[in-house]
Amino acid sequence: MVAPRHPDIFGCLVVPRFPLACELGDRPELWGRPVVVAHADAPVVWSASPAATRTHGVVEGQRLSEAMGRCPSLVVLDARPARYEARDAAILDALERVVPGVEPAGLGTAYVELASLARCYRSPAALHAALLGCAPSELRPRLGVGPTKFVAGLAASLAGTHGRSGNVAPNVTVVDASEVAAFVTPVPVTALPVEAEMIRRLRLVGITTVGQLAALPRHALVAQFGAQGMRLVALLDGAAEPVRPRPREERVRERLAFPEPLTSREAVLAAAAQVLRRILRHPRRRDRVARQLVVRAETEQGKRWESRATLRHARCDHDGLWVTLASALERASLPGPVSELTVELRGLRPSRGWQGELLATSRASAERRERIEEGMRQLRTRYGRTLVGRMVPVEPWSRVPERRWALVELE
Amino acid sequence: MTPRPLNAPVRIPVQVDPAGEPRAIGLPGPLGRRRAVPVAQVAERWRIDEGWWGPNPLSRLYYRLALTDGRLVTVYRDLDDGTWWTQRS
Repeated sequence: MVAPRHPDIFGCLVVPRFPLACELGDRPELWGRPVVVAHADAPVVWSASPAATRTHGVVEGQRLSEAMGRCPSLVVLDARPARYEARDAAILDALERVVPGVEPAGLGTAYVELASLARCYRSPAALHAALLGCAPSELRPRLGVGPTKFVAGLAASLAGTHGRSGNVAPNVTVVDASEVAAFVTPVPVTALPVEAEMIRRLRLVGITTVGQLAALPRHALVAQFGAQGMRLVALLDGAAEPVRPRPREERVRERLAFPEPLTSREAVLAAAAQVLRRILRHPRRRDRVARQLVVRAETEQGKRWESRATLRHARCDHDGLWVTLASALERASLPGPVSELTVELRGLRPSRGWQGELLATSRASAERRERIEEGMRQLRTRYGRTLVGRMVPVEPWSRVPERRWALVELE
Repeated sequence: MTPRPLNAPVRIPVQVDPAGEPRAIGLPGPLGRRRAVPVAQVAERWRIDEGWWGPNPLSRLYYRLALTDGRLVTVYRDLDDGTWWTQRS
């Protein structure tokens, strides 16, 4: 007997203008004012508030000087990408506790498959509330539900602005399979998940709605826009793209907060050594090796610095990780005194396949090792500290000689 | 123990000609006292500019020098403050 197949239902959770929403979530007094978020090192608008766009014509990608010329009262906020990524990851984690498979689609956007989940909730409204609850309410998330990811995405982008009768909450738009054509026809082409250049070209020839676009011959779209046009044709024809969940990745994280922010690099390095020792003692780390090392420093003002190093081979030994960690911190341009330091090991997997050396250590080198250790013991007894170091490559490719190799404690 | 960089540069006194090229460099003699050793030839010259986008930029003009006593040494002039350093490259 074949189980009856549920009709496809997809959800799309969107936080519009995610970087800006994160900033306004921290500074709610700026809601309703013309505000933009811009990278300190790239003078273009990354994310603009509706007030700035509607009243002054400030749009994303515009040069900051032009934006400020258009709107003298514009509030410019420094972008904090690490913070946005952390908030996005927190939303995805929360969604995964509600829905088994979550597909991230850029900062503040995620797709989920809902058909199998609908019966777990007493009503669709309860399911929608659970999904919306995954994003903090101050970010003002929106939810779109439809028979394909494409329709769900369009519904989410219009949620809260589209007065449809099927809505169960102001920030939710539900589109049934029977009303897809009626829903998408008036949708502006700016809501399509395609490149801005394609939208610009469509508008140049007077195509402003999805309905006008759908009326065009399919071969003309493909001829004009190539692979992107082909994908758009498939989406307009109702092709079902599955949700591609993000791969599950095991990770461990240790954090150290400082009541008195650290101002010197030496203090940050000492703290990093402590966090590393702690993370290596973590029970979930035992008998496992990591693929990636992430170190993150946060200042009291909420500015973050992050470095992500993919290890040449999966490892979890103290010396190997310390070289990566210390060199990242020594190179770092920290945004200020550090009030919190986090070290994270990602991509943990069993270390069974690890082959340290092709040939077993010979007896001669074992004897040499014993002699060195004995000498070190004597030195430690005589001077109270270890004086023997080991050369480790830090940046062997560097043009600056003192950055190529470093001396670390042998033990 | 914090990793300690190897090949750290050492400050040295250098006499320069009017064009700013090294003419003699002060190196420790057999008894530890510095003495000026004339430069016989500039074998090689190269420049390193790094980190100019960050808060700790680095700008150096390196010279590989043949000295009159037969030694080959590498020195550089820090282009930010004009100081001279020797370093194993």
